[in-house]
Amino acid sequence: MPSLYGGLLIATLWAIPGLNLINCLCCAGVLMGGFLAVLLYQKDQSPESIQLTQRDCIDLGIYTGIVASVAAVIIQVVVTMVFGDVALEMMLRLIERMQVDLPPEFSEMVEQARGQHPTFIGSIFSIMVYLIPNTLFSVLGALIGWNVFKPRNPAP
Amino acid sequence: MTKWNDIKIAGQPDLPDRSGSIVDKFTITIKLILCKLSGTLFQRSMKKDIIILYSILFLWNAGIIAAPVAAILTGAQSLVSEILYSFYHPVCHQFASHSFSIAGNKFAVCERCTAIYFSFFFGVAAAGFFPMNRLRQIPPIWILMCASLPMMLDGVLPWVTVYEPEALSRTASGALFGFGLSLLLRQSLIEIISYIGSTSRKRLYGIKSR
Repeated sequence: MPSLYGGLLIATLWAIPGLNLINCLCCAGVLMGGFLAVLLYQKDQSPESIQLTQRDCIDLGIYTGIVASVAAVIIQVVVTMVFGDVALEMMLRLIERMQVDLPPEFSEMVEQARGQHPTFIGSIFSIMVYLIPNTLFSVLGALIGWNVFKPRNPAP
Repeated sequence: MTKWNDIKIAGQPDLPDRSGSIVDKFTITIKLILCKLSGTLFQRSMKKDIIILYSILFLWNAGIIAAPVAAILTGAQSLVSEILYSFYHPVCHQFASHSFSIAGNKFAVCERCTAIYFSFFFGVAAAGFFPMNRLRQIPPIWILMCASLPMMLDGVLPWVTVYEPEALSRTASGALFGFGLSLLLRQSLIEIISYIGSTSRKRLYGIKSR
């Protein structure tokens, strides 16, 4: 379950236009997903259960990355099919209202996104392309979580 | 507590007495620094796992610069540069206006990501050469907060205020984030590489791990 929640957080941050800009900060959304998975896993643990290990965190990061890659593509397809370019237009209006100075390449990217329609093969390809970086960065996020939450040795 | 004169490194000649002229003291200090550096280099950092980690990070960083260099040497649309740019595309937006460039050819990742990856590499490498025990005593959550907050502010403030990030702020905040992460993750990454190595050895040769 923690991996699922972490993966869904990453997927949401990937797939929703506007929110996905957070990944411009060194895939911060993906790192946060891995971190969240470890946080939730640790909260689920009772005091009697076995302590969290680094290996658990790596496993959590891998599962989170896999869930994220699949879920991101599904959410992206659903959003595009249900709302079409509405979500994109909403994001553009929001950016306009906030008067954010975005680089010229951003408008090119938006124009490209406007013309794209999801296909089955394209979706599978997207999953394959994003599987490796998502898994890598969510493992790093999980390792950050491990280093933050790992049991400390009592001071001598 | 270890005294200045007590420090001895295996395989190194005994250091002469500290007393003497200023020139002697200076020579001894230089010798001591060299002894410590060589000791660090050849006794601690030459471990296989650390070298593998350095190599991976070095290759990752080299690829960032190799993309524009390949574009200069073989042409902007060449297969090599295209492959390198495509390799880094899933991890960065690669906007030319936000990237460092060599002779008009952008790096494979933006300024912020370049700063993160390079400072991560130097942070991991520096930890092998310089004592960072004091830094490691800081609670990890504080390291994480101090390292990520400037970058988060640099990314979020343009959306809510009139602040506009510059190349310098993107680079500096990214470098701080990368360095903070290196403090947090260095040991974990070495342990993972060590674990993968020992597991592969076990599978290949059926021997026990270290």
